[in-house]
Amino acid sequence: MSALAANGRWNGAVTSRPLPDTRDELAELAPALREHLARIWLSQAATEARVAGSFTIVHRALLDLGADRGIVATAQRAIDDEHRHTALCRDVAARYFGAPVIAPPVLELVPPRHELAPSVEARQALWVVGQCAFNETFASAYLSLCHERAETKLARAALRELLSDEIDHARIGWAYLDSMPSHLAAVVQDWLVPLAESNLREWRKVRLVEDESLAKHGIPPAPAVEDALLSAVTDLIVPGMAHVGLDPTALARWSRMQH
Amino acid sequence: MSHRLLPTIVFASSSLLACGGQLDAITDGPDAPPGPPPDGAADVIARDAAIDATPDVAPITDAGPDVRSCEGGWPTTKGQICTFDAGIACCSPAIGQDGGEVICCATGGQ
Repeated sequence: MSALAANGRWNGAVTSRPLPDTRDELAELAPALREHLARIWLSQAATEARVAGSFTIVHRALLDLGADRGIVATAQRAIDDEHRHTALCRDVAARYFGAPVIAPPVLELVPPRHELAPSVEARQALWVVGQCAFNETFASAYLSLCHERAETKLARAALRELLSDEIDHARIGWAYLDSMPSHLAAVVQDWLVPLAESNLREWRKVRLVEDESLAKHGIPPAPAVEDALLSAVTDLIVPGMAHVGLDPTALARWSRMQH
Repeated sequence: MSHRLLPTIVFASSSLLACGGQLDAITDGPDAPPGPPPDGAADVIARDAAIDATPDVAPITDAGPDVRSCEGGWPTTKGQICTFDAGIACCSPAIGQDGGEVICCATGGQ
């Protein structure tokens, strides 16, 4: 795992404030449940690390696109944010497990190919919008649900930290959409439904449990996750696209077909 | 109906512009209703509300699959794809050490 940047969001710390001491709370859980939760958080540590790679690509794209320096700076910070998330998730896994846990495995990153993008520049714009305005907006909606349903102190604290960053990461995409040149906006306009469909498909793979058994630990049931994702499209991304001046009609129509 | 994160994520995104993205952290209080929109956003919200209220009368048609939709999206931060068949315990007995000493790795947390 990469070292955390001293000039990162929390000046080299993993979180804005230390996680609460929840040993008493966790001691009441069955060992098997604790290990199950630890495995979930350790797996998330691996996926968070992979997204640091995604933001390395997004940051490079924003630089090449000549995006506003505030957007570029936030994207650069996002790389470190994702490394912090990796450390946070591994720490939470260890707390649930009750002992140190292995380093998360390194996962391969395969960014979207967007072979039909009309230019390299257009592909880079699609990467920014896909990763930030779609993927990270889905992440924010998902984490918001997880936080809303979580009851344990450890889960609530960890989820709050993650959500705080993911919202900033989503804002990168929306700020870029609101400031991008018109010729690239026209490309994105034509790709709204493919971007929504391909990224929503990835999120629909996140199905942990079907029931409420882990909800208080911040892991809501699959039907609630599905509702949150669809609501993010219909009530957040669609009006968001209208807000930045794109025509969301086709996207709205597609989203209704998903319900 | 607007999503409660719409003002936070979309309307407030302009605060990133040339400011380095230094934004407020999320507090862990009771879930509050969305705060007031940024300055100047009221007319934007009104415009969006008008968009929301505009009936979309276009017929739903199936134009066939779009190959662009068939490619993979960006990987999520929350995919649960690791199985850890060998377990997740970090500790292992130290080789050549008497007395069962155990060596563990650091977790990297605070």
